[in-house]
Amino acid sequence: MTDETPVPPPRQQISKLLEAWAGQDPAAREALVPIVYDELHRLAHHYMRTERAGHTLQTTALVNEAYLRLVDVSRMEWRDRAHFFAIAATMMRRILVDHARAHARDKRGGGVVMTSISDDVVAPAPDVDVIALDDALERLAQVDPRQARLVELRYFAGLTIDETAEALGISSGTLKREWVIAKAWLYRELHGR
Amino acid sequence: MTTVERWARIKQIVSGALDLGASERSVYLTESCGDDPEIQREVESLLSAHQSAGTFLETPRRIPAAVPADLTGRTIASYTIERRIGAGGMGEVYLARDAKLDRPVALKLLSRDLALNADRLRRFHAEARAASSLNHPHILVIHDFGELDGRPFIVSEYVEGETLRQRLASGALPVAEAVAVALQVAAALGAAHARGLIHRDIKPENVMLRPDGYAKVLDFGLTKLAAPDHPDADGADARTIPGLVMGTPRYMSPEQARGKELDARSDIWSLGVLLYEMVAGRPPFAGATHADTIGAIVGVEPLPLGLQAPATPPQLERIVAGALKKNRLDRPASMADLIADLTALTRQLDAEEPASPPAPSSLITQPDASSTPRSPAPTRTRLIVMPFRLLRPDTEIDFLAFSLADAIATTLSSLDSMIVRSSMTASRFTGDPINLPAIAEAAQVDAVLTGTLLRVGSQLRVNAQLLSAPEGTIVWSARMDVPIDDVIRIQDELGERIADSLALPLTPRDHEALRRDAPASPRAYELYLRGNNHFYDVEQWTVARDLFVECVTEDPGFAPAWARLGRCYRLTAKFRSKTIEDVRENLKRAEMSFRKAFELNPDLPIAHHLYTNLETDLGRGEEAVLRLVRRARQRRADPDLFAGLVHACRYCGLLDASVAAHVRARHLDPHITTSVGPTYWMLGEFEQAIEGGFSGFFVGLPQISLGREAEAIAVARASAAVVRDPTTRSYQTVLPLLLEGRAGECLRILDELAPRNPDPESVYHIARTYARLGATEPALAQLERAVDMGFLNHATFARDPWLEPLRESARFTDALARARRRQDEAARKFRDAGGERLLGLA
Repeated sequence: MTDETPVPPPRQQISKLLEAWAGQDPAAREALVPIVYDELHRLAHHYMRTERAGHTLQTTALVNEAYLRLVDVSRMEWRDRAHFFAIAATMMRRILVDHARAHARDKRGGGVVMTSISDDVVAPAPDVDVIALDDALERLAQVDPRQARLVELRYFAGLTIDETAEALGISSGTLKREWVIAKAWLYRELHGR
Repeated sequence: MTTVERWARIKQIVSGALDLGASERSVYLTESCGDDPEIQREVESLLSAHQSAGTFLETPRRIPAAVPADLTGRTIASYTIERRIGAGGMGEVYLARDAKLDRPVALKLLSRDLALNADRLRRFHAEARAASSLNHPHILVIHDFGELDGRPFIVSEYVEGETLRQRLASGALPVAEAVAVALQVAAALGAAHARGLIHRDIKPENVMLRPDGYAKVLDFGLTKLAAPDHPDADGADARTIPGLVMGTPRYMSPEQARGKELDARSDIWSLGVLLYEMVAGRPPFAGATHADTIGAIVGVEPLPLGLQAPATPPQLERIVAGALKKNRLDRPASMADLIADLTALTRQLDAEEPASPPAPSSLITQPDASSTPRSPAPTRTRLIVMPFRLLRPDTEIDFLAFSLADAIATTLSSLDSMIVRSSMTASRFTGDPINLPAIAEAAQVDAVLTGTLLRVGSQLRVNAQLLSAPEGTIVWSARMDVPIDDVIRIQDELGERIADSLALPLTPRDHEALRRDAPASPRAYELYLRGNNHFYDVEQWTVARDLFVECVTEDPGFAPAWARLGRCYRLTAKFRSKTIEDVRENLKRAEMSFRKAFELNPDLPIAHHLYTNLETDLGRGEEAVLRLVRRARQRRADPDLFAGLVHACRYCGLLDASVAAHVRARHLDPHITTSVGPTYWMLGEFEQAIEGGFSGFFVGLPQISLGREAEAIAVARASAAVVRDPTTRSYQTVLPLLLEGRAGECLRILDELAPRNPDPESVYHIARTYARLGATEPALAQLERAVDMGFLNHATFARDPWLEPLRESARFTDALARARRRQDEAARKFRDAGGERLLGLA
């Protein structure tokens, strides 16, 4: 935990911004984004730098952590949590993709000693190539922004079906169908036709 | 048509196609794609991608963490690193040798981040030194500080032993031991508090236990490194929470969670949490996420300790509740007060210790009435999951009817707030429509899940209803359509909906349990379900075994499949192995399978239920008893655990306990099958043995003991006539042959079967049959084998009339003495573990 990080605004203020954003105030979102990004970035990098044996952390846990640090939990509703996660998902994606790009560069770079990041640490599920996924998501967003968003929420922030539906303002039924199709589309993109 | 419009149309067609079976699809596609072959190609390629996608993207992304390099072999300052003994959120710990003083030391290397603030590092050093310089016997002595490549390290005395966290991994501590540890930690903290030092991070990882029970508190001041200097002006900055990303907030006080200034009473709280967890085996506040945990710490009263651990003395419950007051003004004012309370409790426990005479054998009281007068068992919803009904005959899916219900029941049985009746019980109640009041009455349940299955193309349609019993009100009813290769979704969704709709007070542990034992792929799940379908059928379990083997090959992380595979291997050892080597090999596989299951989920109910018979076969009846007692003290309403105790206690010669466990199991589930029959037989209660069920290899034995020989021959012959398993059939012909005077045939069968029988109880029966036939030498050999393999009923041996010819032999006397010694030992451990209390025998 480094000291160079700017101190975030008090939690009450962030909670208010979240409420305002949930009430369709776009300016509130603008104000929230940098705060949330800084916090997530700080936490993620702290985590990725800290050496520990054989652990990986679920994205969900990290976003939760950020939520807890930024928001006055006692005043928030479940719905607000979904909205917070909705903001965090995009940033989480950015952080992970940047990290993967840097890692890939380091691996190619020769002479760089990779003591801190090891390939031993793999997720239990078959690992998805996050850079390829990011590119594919870009393409998907061209034709179907909502589907791209949905994947972000499910995969990069670990929202449940119901939370995702809430964050996107659609029914769970519709969401499940969209999720199935988005997965099929991305699977095809990543695994060849 | 724009790209976006085209995509919308493709989605619509794909969506429609997903509802249809393969045969209907092609017509549908031709119709809906019209004359646009490109759209059709796109749709088909998406449908095929959907088929192969499996669990793609279903698990949220994980964040990689760095892996530390092992420093073993390096020399740092004057310390030679010998081996790594631990690694955690803050860094790693090594065993090292101090070359200057030639002594072992512990070297803790911290994360680089912690060194970034030099000022803070200085203050940490100062505080750690101050605590160490108290020279308190229960505070770890610090020798030195240093830095390696920018990472700070601390050198301290090396304490041989384990951390309290490691100790807790094998379950709760006995009350006296927990109190003793708490008292030592309290003494250490009291001394530090007197110097104005607050620990701030008391948790099981920070308490070392030497093998002799001596405790040491570690890591004074370390939170100073991890937490920033000053809270915000409003004092409510979550950043003051130490170790959040690094560890757990479970031991934090409410004021700590709120980021307030801390005083000694915060440590009192944390010690209260520690004591609670030591006694209950689980922490009082534990959420699925840190936010949930903190929410519970700040706003939820913990379950009274007595409910979690029935052996808790009321005084201890009061002490823990006092330390866990949300408002620190309500807690003991100082550690000295807590120490006084704990000391008084220790005295009381010491005084009580000798005053627990063994219960008279005839006196079996109702456990609930005597052992926990203060704490009525929490009410739990009792559910039965009926086999699904197929709406039309369908060989593709008929395996699901029983096995899907069985899998749902297995999953839900891990919930603390729920009692789930076994699938065997459920399969007894068939008929359509089901007779709800009859089921409710006979199976003693509050809720019934019923459902139907129908295959439509490649989709499976499930209609499920949850009915409250006996009145039959529909709690909810649901229709689900899932692809036939994704049946796991049915289990997931029904499981969650049941939990939701019954408004079960799910603990975070429950939520985890619901998620944890899920297979990684639909294919693994299908293999599991197909295996389950044959699991209980004597004729079919080799088929089940092969399916489970395939299943764990597909998904080695699926714990329930390992447990079921373990049982199948045990049965293979007992009934399908021709040589002693085969028997051993299969028992070994059985053991490995269960190990694997427990490794994946130490709490897995089905593994705890099925493991018992393997343990007794392997001569580890005593371990089985202790495991089941420990487990049943936490899950007092699980009838299968008590059924296991019926069996395991008998092997250890704890016959009264065996009967008491049966009474308890039946009290919880009137239909449960236990092996109490043989226990009654050993007690000489032959009529009750018949009533309790005396199946297996020596059917008819109680009748012989009652002198009703004709009846014995009749029941044994009748059983042998219908049993298809050749091993069992051979055994069942032994007693009739003996009674008919055909000794030669009898001996031939025994000679053939005895060497490869792994079960010490069976071996005892073989021994006594040999003795009855006058074959003294093999009788003695088998009796010795029975005892040495772990069947310890020396009292039964002593009064068994068939063993009469052996009594003169010194080998017989020796074997009896060995059995007695081991039984006494088992009885003592059983008592110490709280077994007598649990069963109402003390």
